[in-house]
Amino acid sequence: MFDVLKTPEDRKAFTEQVLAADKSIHSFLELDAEKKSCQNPDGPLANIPCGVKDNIAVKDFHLTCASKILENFVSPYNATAVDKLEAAGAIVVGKTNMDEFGMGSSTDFSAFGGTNNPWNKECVTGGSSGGSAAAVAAGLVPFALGSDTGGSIRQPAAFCGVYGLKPTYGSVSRYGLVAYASSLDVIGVLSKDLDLTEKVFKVIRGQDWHDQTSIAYPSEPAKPKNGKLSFTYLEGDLGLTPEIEKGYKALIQAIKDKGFEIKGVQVPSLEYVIPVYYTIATAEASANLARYNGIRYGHRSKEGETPMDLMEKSRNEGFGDEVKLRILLGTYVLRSGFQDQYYIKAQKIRTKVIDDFKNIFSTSDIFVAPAFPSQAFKHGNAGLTAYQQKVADKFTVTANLTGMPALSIPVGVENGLPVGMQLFANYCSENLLFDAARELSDVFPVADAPEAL
Amino acid sequence: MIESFIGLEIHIQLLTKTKVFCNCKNEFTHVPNSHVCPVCMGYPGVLPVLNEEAVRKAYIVCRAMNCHLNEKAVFDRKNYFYPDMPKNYQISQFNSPFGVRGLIEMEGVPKVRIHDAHLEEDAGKLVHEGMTSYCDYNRAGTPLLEIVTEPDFKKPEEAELFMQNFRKMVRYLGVCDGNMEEGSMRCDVNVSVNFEGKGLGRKVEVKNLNSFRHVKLALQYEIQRQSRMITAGESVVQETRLWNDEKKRTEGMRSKENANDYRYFPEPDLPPYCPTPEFLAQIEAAQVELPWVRRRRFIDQYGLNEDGADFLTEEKDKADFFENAVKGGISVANAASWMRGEVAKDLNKAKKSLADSFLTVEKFVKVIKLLEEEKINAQAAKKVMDIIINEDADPMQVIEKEGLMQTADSGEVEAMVDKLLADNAKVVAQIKGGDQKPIGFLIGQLMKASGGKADPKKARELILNKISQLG
Amino acid sequence: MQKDELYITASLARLELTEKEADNLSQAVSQMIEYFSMMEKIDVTGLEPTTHVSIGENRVRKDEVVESTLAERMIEAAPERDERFITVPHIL
Repeated sequence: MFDVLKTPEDRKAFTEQVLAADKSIHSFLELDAEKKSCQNPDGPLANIPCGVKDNIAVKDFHLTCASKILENFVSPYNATAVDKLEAAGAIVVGKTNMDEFGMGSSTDFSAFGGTNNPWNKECVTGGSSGGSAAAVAAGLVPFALGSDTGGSIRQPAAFCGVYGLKPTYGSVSRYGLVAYASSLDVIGVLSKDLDLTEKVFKVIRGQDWHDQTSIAYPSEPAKPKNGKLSFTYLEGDLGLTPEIEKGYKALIQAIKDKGFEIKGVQVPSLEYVIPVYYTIATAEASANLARYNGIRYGHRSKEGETPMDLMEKSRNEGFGDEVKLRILLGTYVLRSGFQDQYYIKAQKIRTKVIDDFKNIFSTSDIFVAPAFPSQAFKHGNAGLTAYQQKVADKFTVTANLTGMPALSIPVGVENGLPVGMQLFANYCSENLLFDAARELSDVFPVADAPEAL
Repeated sequence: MIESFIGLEIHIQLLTKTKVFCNCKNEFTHVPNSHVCPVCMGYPGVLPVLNEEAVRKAYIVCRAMNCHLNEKAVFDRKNYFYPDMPKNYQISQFNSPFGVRGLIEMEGVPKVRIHDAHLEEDAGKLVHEGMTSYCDYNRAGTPLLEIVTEPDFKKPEEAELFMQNFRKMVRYLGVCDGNMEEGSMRCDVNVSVNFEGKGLGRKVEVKNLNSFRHVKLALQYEIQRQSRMITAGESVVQETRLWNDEKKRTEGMRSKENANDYRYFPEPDLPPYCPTPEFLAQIEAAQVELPWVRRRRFIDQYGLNEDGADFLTEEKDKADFFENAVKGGISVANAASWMRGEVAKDLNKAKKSLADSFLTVEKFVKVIKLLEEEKINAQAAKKVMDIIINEDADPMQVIEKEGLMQTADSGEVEAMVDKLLADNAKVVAQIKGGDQKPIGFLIGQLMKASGGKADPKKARELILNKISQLG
Repeated sequence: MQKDELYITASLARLELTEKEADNLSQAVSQMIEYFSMMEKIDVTGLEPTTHVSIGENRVRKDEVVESTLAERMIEAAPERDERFITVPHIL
């Protein structure tokens, strides 16, 4: 099926073709199909080209995290997920754009310029895995790896009309994923092909020696509670745009039409998951991003007479505003005197959110919710402010706080832009998400973006 | 009256093959940045991977100090920026370390309460020269166990004695080589003074102490300095000071380096560690009699004097050697005196430790037994001992080869004595006349003639008998 | 948030803020901190903090040396170096 990269000539032609097609989208920060060749011609992913988000290490490719502080940094090693992809025969062709260090919901916070939505170039792709979502939607690669800390796979997948899997925390090794918020981060998959999404997930998951928070994935697939999938949805006014509201209703109707049980629930904790999420994520980020100081690698300021001075100047020159904002927030919530009020409190509420979702999944298999309250918004001032974007993450962050898996699925196109919804399931129940998505795929087939390859 | 309160913060580098969170060698090298990998260099995307041996050795120490072992130990990130810290946070333990609330009791020191013992990673090293600091990250990631005592010491001498015993303890347990000069064992002290009965004063921390002597000197200096201040009505500033060994004084650091808020929070990259019953049984099995306990027992049980007990319990293998030798059937006095004397002298000459010499307890016991049975004399025993320390040789073969066995044939010796007396009639007459002095001369001549095989004690008797028989 | 609090926080985070940046960021930080204060209302009595979501058995590795082949490459990646040392301006 995929033989576009078999010979060096193929790889050269592929690179040229994709570079040309990506000019108006800017989904890749680095693209070179000639760097790698297929390691396993008999593997389940043999010769399939893929993009990898630029916060996941691919040996000899840059690893910039879309930040000036790592602008010239080339990774000396592979992430475990990338090792596994290569062992299965896939070929990494390039590194995809993102919000700097994964901090954003638009990919406009890339230090190297944003990515345009293949459906409408005036619109953002969502983020932070916007480059991966756009590359897949534009047909440049059959699948791409992304990372999801608070919705960074699912929201751009929804904005670009593709599938986006955020796996169970720990099911895919984080080794080689540049940490944003370690207790929330997970590597996942974006693709227009549901079966391929599942296949890639099966390849990259598994307990890893390098990541002691990784888990041994159960060999037996999860089974529906009552022999048949059962669903729950969110009741009440969710503050959705009319297009998303319509898509949500259509999804619920389709589930009913297919003969599945679905009931409404209320999840009061949704109202405060955003402060909980941002408190925990920024706290962890403030430590995770401390290593970038201009000494061992990365951007080093030309000035600085003492080491402290050098570190401060390097960091100040290297980090963008959104990253600085989150580092400051995270540093603040951990300070002595404030820690109990913010960080510890957030972790306790996190326990409550987990309990809420365990409850939901004690009686049903799949919980459905919108991916984002709106469709892809416009670039710049015409879109959402950074603050509005953060507040709008409430449907996605729960899966990161609980560590449970979620899958973003396309449910149609409104006004020339995709509408995306999410399916959530209990720990290590990804197979149920794929089963549910497959059941719905004839009602909501994946649409191709205009000009897609 | 002024009281002082001293607490210690002791860091020991654990003896593991690899670093605590990566597989790089945990070993000193002169080649900068050679034992490094993306993990200990704080590269983007890497994660810590906990070393089981570091965990095991840390728990062995916690148990030896009678610590309460937390059911769930949690790693934390300690956040501060420094060029020798690759991640600019140190993985440590704060709220729930491996061991808490321990207690150490030893002679000469008040009961010392252990606040906690936590596992953490060492930083790299900076070498300063001119306008540049040179960073070497070989040491970054070395497993460190930090032991924090309560301020239970009153005198610098107590702290010094405690440190000396503590060093012996970690060597007995085989978890650290205890080398303060090379930094594998480090000690910071905190000290405060106050008028008697008023409780703790304002705490001053002193760092940069590279020997037991520095610990004592710095404490003496600080107690004097602080006492002078409070006596003069001044208040002591709570701060961190450095020991300047050239000037023999403590010096304040710039205030900026003092201000810190470490913002500890649980390390999300490492799951908590919950010791299992099987693991704890292993830790229990690795416990040894602590050096100060053993020292006291040696005095009580074997009737050794303090110096002898000090010498024999200095190292665990020495103490084991001694006890096994005694068990092997030789006298305490011989075991102790030969170990302190000839064996120590020979080892010193050979620049070897007991462990890396060829001497075994069995060989040692054999030689001393032959001596005790008067089959060889002391001079011969010394000669054999020297050989079996330096060569992989069997003591019996050495004795035979060198012909050191005391001759059992009394007729042969008697004949020698007869000849000797006949040859030295003048001397014999002297002795007969009541002058005992020349007898030593005769014994010496006999030993010479017998090639050392004659027993000097018996020789004396024999000579005196023969002379009296001469009539 | 007061500006002096912002400066203390920035210094802990080793971010050297210009006057203008401090103005912009203090607004954004204050807005979020205010939003965070929503958590005050939530009753968490009896709840333990969640620090890790995937706790299984203890995870440790064997104490076996695996020498990295990347030392030289990492030294070369350093922006300033002197032979095998990575250098910084001298600490005064």
